[in-house]
Amino acid sequence: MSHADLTVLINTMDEQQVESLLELFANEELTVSRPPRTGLVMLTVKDCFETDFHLGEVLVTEARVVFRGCEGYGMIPGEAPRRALARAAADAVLRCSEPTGIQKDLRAFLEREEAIRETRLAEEAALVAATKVNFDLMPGA
Amino acid sequence: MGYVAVKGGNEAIERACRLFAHERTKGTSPPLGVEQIKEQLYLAADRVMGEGSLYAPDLAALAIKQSAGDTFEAAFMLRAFRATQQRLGYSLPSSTEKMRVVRRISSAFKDIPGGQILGATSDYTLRLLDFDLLKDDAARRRAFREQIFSSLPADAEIPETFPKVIRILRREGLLEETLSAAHPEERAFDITRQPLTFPASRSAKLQALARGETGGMLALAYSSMRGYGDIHPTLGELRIGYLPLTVPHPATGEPYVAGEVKVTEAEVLARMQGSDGMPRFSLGYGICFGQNEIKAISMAILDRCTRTEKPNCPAEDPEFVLYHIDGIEAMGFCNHWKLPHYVDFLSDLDRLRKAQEMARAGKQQERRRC
Repeated sequence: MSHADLTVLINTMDEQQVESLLELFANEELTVSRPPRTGLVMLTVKDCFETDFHLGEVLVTEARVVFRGCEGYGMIPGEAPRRALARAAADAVLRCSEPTGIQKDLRAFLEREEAIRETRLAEEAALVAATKVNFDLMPGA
Repeated sequence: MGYVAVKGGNEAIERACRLFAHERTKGTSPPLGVEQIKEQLYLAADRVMGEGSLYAPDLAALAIKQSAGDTFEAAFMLRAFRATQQRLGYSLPSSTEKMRVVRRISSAFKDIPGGQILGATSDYTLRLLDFDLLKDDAARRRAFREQIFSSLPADAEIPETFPKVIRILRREGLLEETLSAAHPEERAFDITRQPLTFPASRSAKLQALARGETGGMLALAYSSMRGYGDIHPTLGELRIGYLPLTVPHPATGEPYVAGEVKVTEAEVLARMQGSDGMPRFSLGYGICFGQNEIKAISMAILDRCTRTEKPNCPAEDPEFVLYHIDGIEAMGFCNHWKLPHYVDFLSDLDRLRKAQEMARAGKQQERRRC
């Protein structure tokens, strides 16, 4: 999983985990370059003729954090300033080319979360997969 | 305008607003939590998000609570809220082939690549009241959850993505050619930034339909299904799932997945005569926020109807359809009749009395001639 994909795991963490993640960064040289703010992103999709059009807007929260000169970005759906900050901080730390101890800790933290998420998604997928249907045609049809 | 020619009444208005809130809270039941609405009345929240044109499940649930369940009012509140927020940007165009599918059916083919997945649906339930729900509590929910997981088949698996059903028809040359070549658009029209004009571009039309009101769209689509039109569609594919919300990373420009958005998509097939004389199926396309199958199917039918070359019915006239499906506008206009129209009506009364006087005078003259 790329680091950008890893930070998306923060979206579905429970509140306590988000706070634990932010605590992980407590002693690091992180600067909030843009405090969390809410706004809208227009979701653009393609129709069956490959025409792009705007489906509607999504409420998001975004934030930016700098770690050792590397700017990290956090955007998540909904109004969630702490999560946006956590994503921005995680993005900055993981994108920093200079190896640091926090990177290892952060990866370990996110990988634990990834396992939890995969279990949850597998459960949901199993429920959905069990509704796969094979209709039989009636005799003579 | 006649209906602004009044003033005062502030105290009564404030008391009426408070009385509305009181009606919702005066009972003895525990307060309804926003989380409860979001999780247990999720189809209502989905509908409000689609019609309010804002994907924000928490706020949709709050709007449903505040409006005491009136989905028109709730969608209006979301639309009003979005006007207070800054636009941070546009997402990268998302293809629905990348959707994480939770339901996918076709009424055109029995066997489709990837299979038909019924998902969470009430399609096969009897429309009878379930009185067991009156005894809904934590213990029953736990037991139900245990039961549903314990009875799962061991080999049940689902692919990450599903190919589109219409590909089968496209491969065999049975579908109309793409429209984008005939009507190229450099960039998608944004009806939240520019007024809708006619003839509307395809992107403008789809955006307007995607934020339409479910009931209004169903009524127009139903008129076509019943014969006020020439489109009798087959549902090529209906899918529900989660689309990634991807934006460019501000530092690197690389795609950055902010999260995912639940949508319903419908593709309908209708027969047409091709421009080269070769008969082919034509397509209608529908998509909306959340799980709202009626709206997505109605949108797909209206998309196809409004591409009819010589419109004969209301549902085939793009201007008629697009000007009448927006629930917020329609509801606003309907509601404005409740505002004082004293001056307008006095003027109407005055004209009516004069017209009656003239009519009486005319009759008297006629009688004298006789």
